[in-house]
Amino acid sequence: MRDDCETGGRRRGGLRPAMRTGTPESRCTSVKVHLVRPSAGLLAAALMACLALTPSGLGAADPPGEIALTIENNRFQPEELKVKAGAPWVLVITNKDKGPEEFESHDLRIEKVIPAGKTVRLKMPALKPGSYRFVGEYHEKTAKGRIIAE
Amino acid sequence: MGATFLVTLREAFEASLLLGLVYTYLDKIGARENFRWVTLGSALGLAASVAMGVAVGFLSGPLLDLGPDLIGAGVIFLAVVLLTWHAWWMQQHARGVRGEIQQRIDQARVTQRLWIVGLIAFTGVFREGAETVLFLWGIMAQATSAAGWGSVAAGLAGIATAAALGWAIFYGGKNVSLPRFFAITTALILLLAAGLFSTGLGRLQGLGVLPMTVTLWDTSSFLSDGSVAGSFLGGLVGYRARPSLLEVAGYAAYLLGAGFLVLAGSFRPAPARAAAGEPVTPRSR
Repeated sequence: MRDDCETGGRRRGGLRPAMRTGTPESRCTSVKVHLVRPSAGLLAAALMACLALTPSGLGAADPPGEIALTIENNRFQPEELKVKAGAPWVLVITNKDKGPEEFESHDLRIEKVIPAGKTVRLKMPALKPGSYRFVGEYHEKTAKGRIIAE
Repeated sequence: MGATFLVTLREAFEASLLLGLVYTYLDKIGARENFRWVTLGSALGLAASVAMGVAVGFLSGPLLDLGPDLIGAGVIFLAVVLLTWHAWWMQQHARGVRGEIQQRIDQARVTQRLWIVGLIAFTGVFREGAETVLFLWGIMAQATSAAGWGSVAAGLAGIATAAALGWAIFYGGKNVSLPRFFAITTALILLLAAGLFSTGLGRLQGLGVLPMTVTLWDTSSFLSDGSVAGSFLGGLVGYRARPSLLEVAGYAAYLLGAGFLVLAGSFRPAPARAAAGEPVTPRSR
């Protein structure tokens, strides 16, 4: 099996460097597929096979944490959010007021309107350690807070 | 009340700036009959803003989480394309000696698809329109006292002030000579589009489509994004107090690329143009 794989690799030299990153099994799977019929669909299937064979538990088993933020009486609750730096997370904002509010953070490039009584879930990127300010643009005087990544 | 005034003024500023510029452009090239495209574009932009404002109230789940943001980012990049096209077009017809320029513009009126100018109006109004509608709707819903209605009035006054700025551009523009008007608006539109482009990139970073990059500088203590001057400069030339590397790189790349595209023609006059007369280009001087 391994030999098949090496042969395939030699014939299609361009593919070899990419294949080296996989396990011997995954290398074989993908190369064989290419040898049979190198169509786009099969290529994708081969890629999927490679992905499936990579050590699991890197992303799937560790869903990003959710952090809740509530808007009430034109204020954020809590006004300071602490998150782990370097890991993606999800910000769940619930607007309990009777009017819409816009969650705005220039630091994070987010402008998001949350209609009255609604909840939105914002996928947040992994942040570098630091402080990121945000405001409720419609009530900037009272609605403000910051996210501390550490 | 003052805060309400500033929010709507800020949101409507960019739209009124663009509307002022495109109305003046049409007036200058003697294509007033095409005002209707701009008016139609603005009206559709307003209708789309109201529709979007109403729609988000009914959306929920992933549609609410992502839908408005994707539309918002799409509108930003569409506006960049349209503005670049417009700046390019203006430059094509701005390079002529006195007298000849009018002839070129007559030609432009025949060949240019002026309804595209209406699309610029649409994107200009729609970009911040939905937010403004929601904002006004919100303060109206909460207006139970006299002070509440004062806020509503202040919000409307903010939009009216922005509109007055647009009119000021229109009337001020009338007294500017045509070549100068074209030169100023081309520069203004390119800066505005560069700012929009970097805003769009930033928005995609915020959405996680593009990776986060380092913050290049921090001038927020000196001129913050939220301040009046900061937000006007933001709308006008894309000022950011804490820009990311990608935003700055995108801004520079856009200015270089679009600047080259728009001005390139100036340096190599086409045969037809050379035959028609001495074009005013740096080389021919």
